[in-house]
Amino acid sequence: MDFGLKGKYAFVNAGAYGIGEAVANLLTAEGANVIVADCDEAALREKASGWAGVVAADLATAQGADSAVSYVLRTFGRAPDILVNNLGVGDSSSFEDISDERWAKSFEINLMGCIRTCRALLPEMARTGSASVVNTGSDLAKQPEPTLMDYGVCKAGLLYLTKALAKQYAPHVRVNAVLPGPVWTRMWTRPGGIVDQLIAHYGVADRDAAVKRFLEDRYLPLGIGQPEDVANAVVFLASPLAKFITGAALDIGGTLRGII
Amino acid sequence: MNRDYSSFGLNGKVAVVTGASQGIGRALALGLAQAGADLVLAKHPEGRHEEIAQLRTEIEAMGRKALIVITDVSQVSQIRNLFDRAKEVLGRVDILVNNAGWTGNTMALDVTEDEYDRTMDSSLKSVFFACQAAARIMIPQGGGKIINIGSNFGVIAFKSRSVYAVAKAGVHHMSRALSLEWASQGVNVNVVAPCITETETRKVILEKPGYKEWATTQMLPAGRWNQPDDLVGAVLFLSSHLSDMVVGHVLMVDGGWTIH
Repeated sequence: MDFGLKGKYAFVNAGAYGIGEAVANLLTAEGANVIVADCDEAALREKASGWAGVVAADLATAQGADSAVSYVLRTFGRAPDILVNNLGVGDSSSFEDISDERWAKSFEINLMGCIRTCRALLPEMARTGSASVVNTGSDLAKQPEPTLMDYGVCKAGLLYLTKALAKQYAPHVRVNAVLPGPVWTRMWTRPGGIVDQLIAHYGVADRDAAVKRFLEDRYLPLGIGQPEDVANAVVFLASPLAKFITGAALDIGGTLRGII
Repeated sequence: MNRDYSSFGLNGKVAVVTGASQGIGRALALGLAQAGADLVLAKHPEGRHEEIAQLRTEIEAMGRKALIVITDVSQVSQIRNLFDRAKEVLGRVDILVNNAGWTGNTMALDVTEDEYDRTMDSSLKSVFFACQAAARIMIPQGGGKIINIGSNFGVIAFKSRSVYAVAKAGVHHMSRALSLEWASQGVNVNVVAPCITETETRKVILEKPGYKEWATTQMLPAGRWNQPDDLVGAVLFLSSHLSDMVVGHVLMVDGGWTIH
């Protein structure tokens, strides 16, 4: 593909695995200079050779976001043209079991990481004249589910933030979101992740049966997506092909939902 | 064209574009041809015969095929003829862009039955039956991509467009409903929804005293009119493999109009 991104400067946060990694790899394949931040230093070290730079930081803290942003500005010597905010983690729990502490933690991971990075970089990016931000949201931003309330509330907030920032920084920075449905990432596959939680929820014997039941329940005709499906949409929105698109939220995964 | 779209890899695909003789339809037909597709150009029986012949010449100069089929899309029999001709001459249909449509510019108290019917027949009924005819070819083929042109007025209302707004909201929702039936059979139905676009037929509105100043300062964060070329990237994204997991989505290409 040629998305017209050769020589552009891009910063992908939470990019060591899954969607973030697929975005960083596609941007790199398109000729962009990509810095990836993540809290998993070992994974970054292992994958660093493919990217222009890596920075290990806990992006869910003010200090971590600051140090990642400083590294980006120092390494590029300028603000990036493209910012991809991919940080987010959700765990299935009943509403009564989500403590104050977990609400606060979820808020830091799923919302404040993006807010702090945008606050630090967007004024600088606006001065470049034509920059672009893509936030990784979720279909849960528009379709409430009782078992992922903290995550979903933050993703609904992220959608508001996306649109408000689009308005604030137009026409110099375009700000869009992707709203993936289920995507085959560590959030699903890791031990104790969503697939294991579904096994318990449905009381079925194995992972295949749990996923099959889930897809039938939610009417997901296209099945579970791959990180590359999301990366294609992120890179499209970041590119000049989407130069008149701002404040949009692109649904991925055929969940065909959207109550909010 | 100021961009090279060849990397979208639509070589060997056949794309049907309705309302192809000018404005958005013309830009999309050229973009699809540049991405490698052969074109079926549906054109209303009245007017612009030289323009459509010129478009065919431009597409053929790129080494693509271009078939003109005179079609009044408000007549279901003519829609069926369009797809019969496409299949007969080019052998298949992989992409359909439902772009044709018509609207009056009349306050609701003064809308006549004729104006209501003309708007709904050309902008909503036509889309349903074109989707149906295309899907009847695409499903046995193994899949295809349908892109319906929606509108920001399908999301937010506007004075003097009451009927058109209903038709376009119908196009958006119909695309979700058709996705529910066809996504698992490989046919992705999506919407690209522009705001008012600087084309010949919209001149009369765009040149009204004060309208441009109001729209570009109050309604359009992007600060400028939509140009036909602004829609090309979105339509090519939704026509290509890049969007295989995107279905039933309304992609706003409106410079941020609907953030309000």
